[in-house]
Amino acid sequence: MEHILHMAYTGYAYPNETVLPWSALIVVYPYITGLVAGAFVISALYKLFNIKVFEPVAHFALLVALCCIVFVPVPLLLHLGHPERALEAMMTPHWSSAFVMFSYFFSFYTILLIVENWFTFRPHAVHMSQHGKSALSRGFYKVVALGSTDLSPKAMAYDEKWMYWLAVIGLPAACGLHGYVGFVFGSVKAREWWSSDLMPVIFILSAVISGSALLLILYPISCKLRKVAIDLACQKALAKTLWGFLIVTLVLEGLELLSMFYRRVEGIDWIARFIAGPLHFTYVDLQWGCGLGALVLLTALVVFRARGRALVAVSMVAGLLVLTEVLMMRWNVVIGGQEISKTLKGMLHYAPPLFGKEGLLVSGAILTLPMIALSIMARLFPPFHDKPADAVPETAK
Amino acid sequence: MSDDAKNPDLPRRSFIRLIGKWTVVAGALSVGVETMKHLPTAAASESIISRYPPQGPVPGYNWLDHHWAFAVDATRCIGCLRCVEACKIENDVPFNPYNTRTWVERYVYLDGEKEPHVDSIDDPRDIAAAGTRMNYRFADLYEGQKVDQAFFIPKLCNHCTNPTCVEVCPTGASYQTPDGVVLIDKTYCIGCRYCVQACPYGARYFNEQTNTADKCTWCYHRITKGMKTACVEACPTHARKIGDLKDPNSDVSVFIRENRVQVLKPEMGNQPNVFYVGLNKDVC
Amino acid sequence: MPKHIVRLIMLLAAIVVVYFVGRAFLTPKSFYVYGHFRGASPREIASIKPTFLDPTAFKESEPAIYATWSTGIHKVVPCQDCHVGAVHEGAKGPIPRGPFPKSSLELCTQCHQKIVARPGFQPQINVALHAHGLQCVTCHNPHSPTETPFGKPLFTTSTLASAQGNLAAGQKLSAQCAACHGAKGVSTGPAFPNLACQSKAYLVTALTEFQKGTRSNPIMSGVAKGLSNADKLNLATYFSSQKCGGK
Repeated sequence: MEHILHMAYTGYAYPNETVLPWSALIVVYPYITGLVAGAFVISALYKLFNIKVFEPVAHFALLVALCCIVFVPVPLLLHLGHPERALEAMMTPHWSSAFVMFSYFFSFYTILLIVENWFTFRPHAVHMSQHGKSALSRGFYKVVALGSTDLSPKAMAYDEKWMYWLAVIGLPAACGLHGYVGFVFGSVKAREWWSSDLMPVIFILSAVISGSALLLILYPISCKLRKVAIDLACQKALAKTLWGFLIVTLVLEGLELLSMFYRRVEGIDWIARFIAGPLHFTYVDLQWGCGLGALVLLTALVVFRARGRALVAVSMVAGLLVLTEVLMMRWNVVIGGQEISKTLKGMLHYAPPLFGKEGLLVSGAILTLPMIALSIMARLFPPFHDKPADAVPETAK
Repeated sequence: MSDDAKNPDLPRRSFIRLIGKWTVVAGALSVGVETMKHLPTAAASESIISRYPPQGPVPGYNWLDHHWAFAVDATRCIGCLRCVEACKIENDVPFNPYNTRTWVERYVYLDGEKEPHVDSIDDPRDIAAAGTRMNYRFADLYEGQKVDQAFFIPKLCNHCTNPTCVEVCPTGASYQTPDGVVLIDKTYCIGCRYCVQACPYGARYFNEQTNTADKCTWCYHRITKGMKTACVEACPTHARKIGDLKDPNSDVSVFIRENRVQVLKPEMGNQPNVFYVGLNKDVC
Repeated sequence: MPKHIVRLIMLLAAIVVVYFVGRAFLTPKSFYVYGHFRGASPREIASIKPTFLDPTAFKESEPAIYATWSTGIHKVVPCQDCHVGAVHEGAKGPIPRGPFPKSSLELCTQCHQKIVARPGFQPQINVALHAHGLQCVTCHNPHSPTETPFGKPLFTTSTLASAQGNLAAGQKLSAQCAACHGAKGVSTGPAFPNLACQSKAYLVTALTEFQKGTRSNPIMSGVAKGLSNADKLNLATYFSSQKCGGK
């Protein structure tokens, strides 16, 4: 008879609060969105800020962003009670809702990313539409190239201009997209843990660090797979970018917590108990532990001017730590925020189920989808300019 | 360009042209449809007005003549939970203690303690006392302990003047009517649960039978027929009152006039429309 | 402009067009009529049929019970506060008689059990001491609880409650009750109700009913036969003056 999955609580929580409205799926959603925004920022650093050292990963970053963004709606749609009605948010948009703004930002940005990627990989598509091995492959690339084979200098100049302007629009759009994700949470005044003006800023910054951390890991892996040397300058620049943004992110996250305690917001007693109790592992140990651990590693990397293998290994470990930090930050915001009761007189204890739609397995599976897509897309549209065919033997030292 | 000049691929070109033409046609169509929407023909406007007159879509009820409000005299609540059961039956609320449109909280200050002990229908001890999930009752807790102060507080949707739940609804499935009631269109709700998060009072829940958000409607199907809400009807001590603020002699108008009423969490800025007597600083 | 750019722009324009066309078709007709919601929705919600009814709805189908109820102190409690069982079991609609609550002891105590936070104006009982495991409806008419189920007044405050019996005489007489109900009215076993601190009026009424046969019990019907009106009052005075639970 009892089907409702409800949470136990300490202190007092409203009866309706004992059923968790947003599960692990909603943790995955801002996480993937953050990866999109972060990866795009790296490609924009190359294209807009002329940081040439990012050249080896610029195209790759765009592809990563594209592969991530197409899976952003998956956890959202899975979580909806009526996914078949999802389009209503854009048919009769209620503009005061942060979700509506998000859906428009998202649609706009998805199209922008597709177009930017299209321009980037158009020469390849044109090439393959003429020299593809099978008729099927040629046909596929012909459709992708929109039936054009124009690679003349004039056309390429057009493409360059478009890509530049798309990046110009894309950078604020990426920040707007993820800022709005932060706003989805920060604007909920009913939840003390969410309600904060800093939330959108923290979300944007943590998006940047998660995106660069992902590239920091994927780039060396891709080099190994392609059996080419890792561009150490690029890897180091990525690590330094991550280092810089990580400092700001951690300071802001710390400031938010500090100001909460310093202002002694309502219910601070329970928030303190919450952090010391149920949230300790995911917040103090994992989020702050990983964040500070990554900071130490990256600082050491910068200070001791690590080179060669050490640089790659340490930066990859730091990248992994940052990815964990950001995932835990999303978890602590989304799930943690719902575990502090709106009564401010108690806390709920959420034990995430492993199975089922809202379970950890499904969420974990969704997190791997972008990587699977990336491995396919990278084959269809190679994002690296390797010297073709004669693979350079590995000489990274 | 040079490629095309060398290999004029005529069938493909005409195909692309066809797509181009279709795009133009579709564009013209959409403009036409949009224009038609904004140029109501005589017949269409007439049917819209007859089905949706200015006094509201509910037959025999003018929503411009009413402004509903609710009052709770918490000092008269005996914690019998007849309201909770009546509401669940009346409104098809799932019969479990975790989804509810209205509930009652018990605040108990034990001797020598500053913080109150609070429990409600979902407390495991109260569930055990009820025996079944179909009934709700307050268990005889605190037996033999010295109690300084204790009271019940009934809770329900506040039908706020500034409803945050409506503010965050992405589709317009949550809305406020001119007679001051906040309703959910269950055939239009996408089930995103943003409104459940946004309500400071915990009045909303996700109904797993309909897969939509759900909450108290102040029994809109009753008050529009001149009846009282089910919970008010069921309350044996008249702790609950529903009334029309536009009628100076309604239960609620009189109650607000004769008492110094309070609302829950006024600092949220929602301007709730459930007015209480008998609150206390710790009531949350 | 190169061909591929033209095609791209056309594609993007097509997306925008599809969006607006789709919007025109997919927006419900009554949307925006009254505001940002489907105008038909309030009517749909208002058309739900009420199931929790005003007690007058049952006046014709249950005239006798309605008469008892509407003149008693339970007239503030509408029918469906108690008669909800049928709906619980899945049948829909107002069912005045319905399956009765399985246990009146469980039902009545939802309002009348003495618990912390229940305000003083509400009549409350200590369930263990008052009910002795008996169902409430053994002594009370649920539709008018100040009456017995047989229509007699349970408490006649004007006569019995104010009448003073002889405590000493009552104590002497109580010797014949002690074997079962205990010397101080605290019973010797769960089969026998406690008499200590029980209402005086109630005790007299109970004895009277045993005498008249309106209430029957193999032991009590015999015991009560030999009692005079003064005996009954004296006994009731003695037991009602004893401390609850004998403490």
